[in-house]
Amino acid sequence: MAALLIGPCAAKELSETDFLGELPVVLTSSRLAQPTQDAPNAISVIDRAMIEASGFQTLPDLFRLVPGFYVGLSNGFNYSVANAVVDEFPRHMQVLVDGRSVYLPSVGGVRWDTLPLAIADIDRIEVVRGPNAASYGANAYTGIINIITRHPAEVEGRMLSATWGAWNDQEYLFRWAGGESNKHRITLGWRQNDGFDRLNDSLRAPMLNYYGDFNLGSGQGLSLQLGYVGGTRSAGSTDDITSQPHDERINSHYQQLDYRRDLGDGQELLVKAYHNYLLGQETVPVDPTQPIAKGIFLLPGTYTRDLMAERWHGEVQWNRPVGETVRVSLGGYGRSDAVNSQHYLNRGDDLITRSWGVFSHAEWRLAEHWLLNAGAMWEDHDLVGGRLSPRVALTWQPEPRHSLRLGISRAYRDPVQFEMNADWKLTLPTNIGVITQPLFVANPDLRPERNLSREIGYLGSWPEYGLSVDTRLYRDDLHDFIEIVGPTGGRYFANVGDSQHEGAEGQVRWRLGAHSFVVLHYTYLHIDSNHKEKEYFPPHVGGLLLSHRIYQGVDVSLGHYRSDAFHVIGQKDPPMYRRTDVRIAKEFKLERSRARLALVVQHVDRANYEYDYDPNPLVSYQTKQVYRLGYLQFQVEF
Amino acid sequence: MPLILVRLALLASLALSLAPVWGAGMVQLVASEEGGAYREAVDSFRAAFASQRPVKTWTLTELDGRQIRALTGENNLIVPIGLKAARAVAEQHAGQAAVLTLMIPRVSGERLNWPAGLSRRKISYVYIDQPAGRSLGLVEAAFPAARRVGLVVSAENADTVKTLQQEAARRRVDLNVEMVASPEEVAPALRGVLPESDVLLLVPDALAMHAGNAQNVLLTTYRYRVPAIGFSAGLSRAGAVVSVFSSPAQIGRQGALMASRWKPESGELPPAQHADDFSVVFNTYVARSLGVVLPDLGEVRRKLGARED
Repeated sequence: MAALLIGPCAAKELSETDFLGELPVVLTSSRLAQPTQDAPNAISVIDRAMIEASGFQTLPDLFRLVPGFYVGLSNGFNYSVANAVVDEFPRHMQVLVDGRSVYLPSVGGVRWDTLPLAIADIDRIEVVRGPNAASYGANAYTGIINIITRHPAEVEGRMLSATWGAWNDQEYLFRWAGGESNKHRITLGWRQNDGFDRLNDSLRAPMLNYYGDFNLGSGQGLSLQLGYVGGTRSAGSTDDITSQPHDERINSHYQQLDYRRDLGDGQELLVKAYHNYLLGQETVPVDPTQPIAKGIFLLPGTYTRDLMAERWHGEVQWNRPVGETVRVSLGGYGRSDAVNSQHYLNRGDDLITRSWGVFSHAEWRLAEHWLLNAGAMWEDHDLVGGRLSPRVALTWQPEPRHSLRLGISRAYRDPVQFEMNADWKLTLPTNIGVITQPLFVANPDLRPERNLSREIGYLGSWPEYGLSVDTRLYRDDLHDFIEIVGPTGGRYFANVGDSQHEGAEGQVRWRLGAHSFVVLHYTYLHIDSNHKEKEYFPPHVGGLLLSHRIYQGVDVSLGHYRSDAFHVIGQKDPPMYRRTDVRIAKEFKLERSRARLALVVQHVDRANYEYDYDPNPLVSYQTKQVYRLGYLQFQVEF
Repeated sequence: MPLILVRLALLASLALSLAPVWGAGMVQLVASEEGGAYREAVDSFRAAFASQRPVKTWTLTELDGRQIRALTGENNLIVPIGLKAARAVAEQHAGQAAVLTLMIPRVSGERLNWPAGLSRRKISYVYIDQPAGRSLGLVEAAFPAARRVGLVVSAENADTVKTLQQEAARRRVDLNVEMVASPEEVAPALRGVLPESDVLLLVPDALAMHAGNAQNVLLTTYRYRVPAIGFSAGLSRAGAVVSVFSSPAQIGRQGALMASRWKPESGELPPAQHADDFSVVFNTYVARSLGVVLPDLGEVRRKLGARED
């Protein structure tokens, strides 16, 4: 008699056992995207269709697709992505990849060029517009970006892709995914790019990432992720006497473990642990031929300018339903951050800060049309002590098409090491002896920034027409705003004042057909501040993306993005930005494989000037001009 | 006790022990395994069996080849429950007993080799799977806006596909079928079909949709934001937005109704059928997450023609 095995094996006989019995529950509540009407915040999802139609070649550009974001290019590989305050290192948002924070404890913000992630690996990006420290902790101050990568089961098989384009941009990717009861995905990539013509900002980056999902049986699962990005980034310039052209060597890697256990009756236990490491090393040459001051010349030589940031994080979360109407989450985390930089912090040892937190939230269906979301996180941070970040949101959904949400929450942004403990000076030998030029000093009295945010949001959805509308009015009271003050030679970060942000934003998504859609968004932000430079975010930002399949397998799309001119505190004025991108792609179904060829042209109708953070007067707008950047992409899945 | 009575008693017990336990016109239930779903089907059968005929219940492990052969030799009705039992009976069948197999998939039933000499009118089934009309009816009832139904199957379901296509034509939905010939082709087939489908109909298939790969299939449908229509309670719990299935109890009851009409004189059985009774189960978490608004469960059952009970 043939033995019938229950479990994964190739081609067994079909029998009644395939109808009876339990299957492992894969779509657990933590895996499921929370329906937007039930969420305590406004959430925009950038899905795979939008990612492809946009034709964007770099991850930060994707945020042009959601309301209220400003994306600026500081140089060939450094981006400023912000939704409330634009800066060289925008650090008011929490950024996660599969739940792992990639926020830098050293300088804050994210170094997008050091994420071991290719756009082809992204399944979707969930952008929470507004603070949610109650769920995501400190630094989820004005928003949260969660990048979710594609599960191996979704991309089974092999994929090869090559992209060539402007600025000598080349990207080559190879991905393999598969496995029986344990699924694996591995991606190998190479990216290079010369950046702006007149800037020394090339990138050469090898990349590797791995994602394994292990089925441990009886409702338990374990996933392991590993990633590495290396290579070089060009830095310095021929105009900069104290930093001549050289390469920064990058070593960035991470490891992440996620364990989940289905405890039955809708209860779930999640354990997460990860380790991030980023080291940037520079051996900076100086220019001995130009004087730094009358008669003073630097002696030829180099100095070291390294920066290391490392994070260890562990967290536990327990989700459970209580009766029919309540879902509760309870959890806690512990974290240790280490930053090391002899150059920027003037000490050779690691500066370690520890923090921990406990959180709880509940989702309570009060009545048929009313949902209450309440949560809080208590956190204690070495540098700044303990505080509570609560959040409450009430949603009224009188009928499936419409829902109205009222929310209020408090969030904090902790100062990062560089803000509190910078001790940055240039100590260089010259013809008259060693000269020390202080640049930044520490401010141990720096307090966290506080945000009290209130919002009212409306969501409308007409699934029979494929139409959804998301609008939000909000008012954020930002206290103890941190900015750079002080005289040249003694600059430091201080809590300079308060701002009130009043914003109105909206987004419309309309699915016109199986392969055609429109996404439109617009944000208006009015800033009132006792800070004298208060136009630190463009008052109007909007975007439009249209995509349509014109015939068999040919997709065309058009994107238009605009933001107004504004003023970055202490720096230059990014000009008005009006950009139009087009993309045309053709899919080929081959015998056992699928291929796609795409052509993208960005800034097709006029030149724009990318955000210029560099206060160096020698770096003018002309340097940052972008016009008609073209890319050709070929991809085959087999 | 007087010696004659003792001898009579001994003789009687000897006679009883030697006489076959089975006699003509009995219903012999043979469950593939102990307990669980098989027990449920057996209990439900016995409760619903409306005839005076004796019913004997066996578990397959209790019987060897010789005993099964003996069972089939008499003019009985054998009721194997599950594929193991059905196969054992088919292999050992040496007589004229009618066989009503319960709770196996239709494609497995078609693969069973019955002796050539056995009249095909004596062989019948109550399948565990659902009729095409009900599966597509469920699509219509739960997803009225859906126009494209995706399906990934292998050649063994060729007949199912034909029936589904006929049903689909009647209901004005498009059936998008991808055929696979090996387990490696399933993932690319799903990737090809899902972007073109409003819902994915899961049909049991040894290559394309079985207990071993259900996880992957459900994950993939979720990644593509396409609701999956399942054929078991397990599938709904695991992530299929809605499933229609017949429980072992419902199948057992249907089997009993068919068996009640069986007569040992003709030995003939009503033709093979699917269970009339069925259950519909929603996965409201996944539905909400996909933004699917499901109609009322009772409404759906009514639309599918469920009996009120």
